[in-house]
Amino acid sequence: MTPALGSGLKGSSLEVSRGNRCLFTNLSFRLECGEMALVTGANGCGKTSLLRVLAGLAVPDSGHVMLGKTGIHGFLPEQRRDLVFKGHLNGLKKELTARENLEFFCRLWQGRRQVDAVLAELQLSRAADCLVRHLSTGQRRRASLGTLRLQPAALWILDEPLAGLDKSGIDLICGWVREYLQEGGIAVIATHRAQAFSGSYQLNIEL
Amino acid sequence: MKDFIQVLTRDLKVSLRRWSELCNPLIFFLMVASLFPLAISPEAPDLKRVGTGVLWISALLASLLALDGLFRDDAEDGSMEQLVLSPIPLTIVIAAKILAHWLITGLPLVVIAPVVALSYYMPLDTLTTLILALILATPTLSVLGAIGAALTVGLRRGGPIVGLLVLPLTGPVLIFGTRATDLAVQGESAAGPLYLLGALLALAIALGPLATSAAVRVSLE
Repeated sequence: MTPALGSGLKGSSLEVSRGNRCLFTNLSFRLECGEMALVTGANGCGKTSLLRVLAGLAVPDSGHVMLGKTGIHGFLPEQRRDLVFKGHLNGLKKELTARENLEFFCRLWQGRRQVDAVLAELQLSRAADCLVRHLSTGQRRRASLGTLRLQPAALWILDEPLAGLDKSGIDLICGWVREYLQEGGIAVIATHRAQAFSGSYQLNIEL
Repeated sequence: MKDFIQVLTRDLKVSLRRWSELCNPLIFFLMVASLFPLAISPEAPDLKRVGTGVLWISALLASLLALDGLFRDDAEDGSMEQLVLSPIPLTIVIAAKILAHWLITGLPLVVIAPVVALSYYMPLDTLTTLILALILATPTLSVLGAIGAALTVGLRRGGPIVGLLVLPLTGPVLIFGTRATDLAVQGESAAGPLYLLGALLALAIALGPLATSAAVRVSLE
C-alpha cells in the first residue's frame, strides 16, 4: 500500500447533476484505510454518477475528491494503479478469451501474475479459453471481477458488483471484499443487495 | 513502449478475429473504384484521365467507412473506461489504437491500390509514387478520423456525423495525394507534394493522439 494513502478517501461537499437535474448536493464523507462505504438508493438517484466522480471519470459540479493527499482528478497515470473501478460494463473484449482478457489487464497494470489461480477461484477454469462472447452473463461478470485480485490497488470502486452472480459468486465476491478490507483497502460499493455486505461496511451513503 | 505494444497486439488480435468486418472497407474501395467505368466510360483515354481522382476519392471514402468502430466497440463494452483509468497515459493507448486501425484498414488499401491503378491504365512506373503517397496519406486519414470518431463515440449513431466532421479536414491530403500521382503520371518529379504529405503526417502524429485522447475523455463523461 502506498504511503500517500495514509489519510484515506475523502469527498467534500460534492454536487453532481445529470442533464439539468441535480442528483445530490453537499455530500461529504471520509473513509479510512480498511473501511468500506455502501452506496444505496432507488434507481436513478445518482449512485453510478457518484462512483464515476469518485473514480475520476466524471467531474463534479462542485466539491472535490481526495485519495490520500492527491485530488483524484489530478492523478498521474502512474497513480491510477491505486484504483480499481468496475462499472456496469464488464470491460471485457468479446473476441478474446477470459484468460486473454485477464492477462491483458494484468500486464497493463503490472499486477500479480496469478491469472490461473484467480480463474480457478472464480470457477472459470473450464471456461477460461472460451471466447467471452460464448460465456453467460454471470460468467462474464465473474471474469470481469477477476481483475480485483490481479491489481494491488488501494481503492475499489464497484458499481453493482453482484449483478448477475449466483449464490456462490456472491459469497466469493463478499469474501474478497472482507479480505481486502482486512488488508487495509478502501472500498466504495453501490448495490441493491445491502444485506450481502452486512457487517462489512462502516458507512452507508444513502442517496 | 512496452504498453504501446500490449495495446497494439490486443487490438490487432480483436480485429483479426472479426475478419468479416475487416474486409468491408477493402471491398467498398474496390466497388466504388469499379463503378466509375460503368458511369463514365470504359474507354482507355477516359479512364486514364479520371483514374487518379477515382483512386484517391475511393480510398478516402473507404477509410471513412471503417472509422465508426474505432472507439465505439471499446466504449460500449466498457474497455474504454478501463483504459482511461489504466496506469499508462491515455495518449499512448490512443496512439496504439490508431496504429492498429491503420494496419487493419489503411495498409490493405495501400496494397490493393496498385491493382486498381493498373486497371485504370496508369503506367507501371508511377506505381511506386502512388504507393509512397498512399503510405504517407492513409495514416494521416486514420488520425484525422480518430479525432472525429472520438468526438462522436458518445452519440448513438455517430457514423454520418463522423463523415461530416472529418471530410473537410481531409482536403489537403486529397489535394497533395492526387497532385503527387498526377505528376508521376506526367513523368515529372513528385517530390514536392510527397514532402507535403510527409509534413501533414508528422503534424497528425504529433497532435492527433493528444486531441483524440482529450475527445475520448469528454465523450466518456
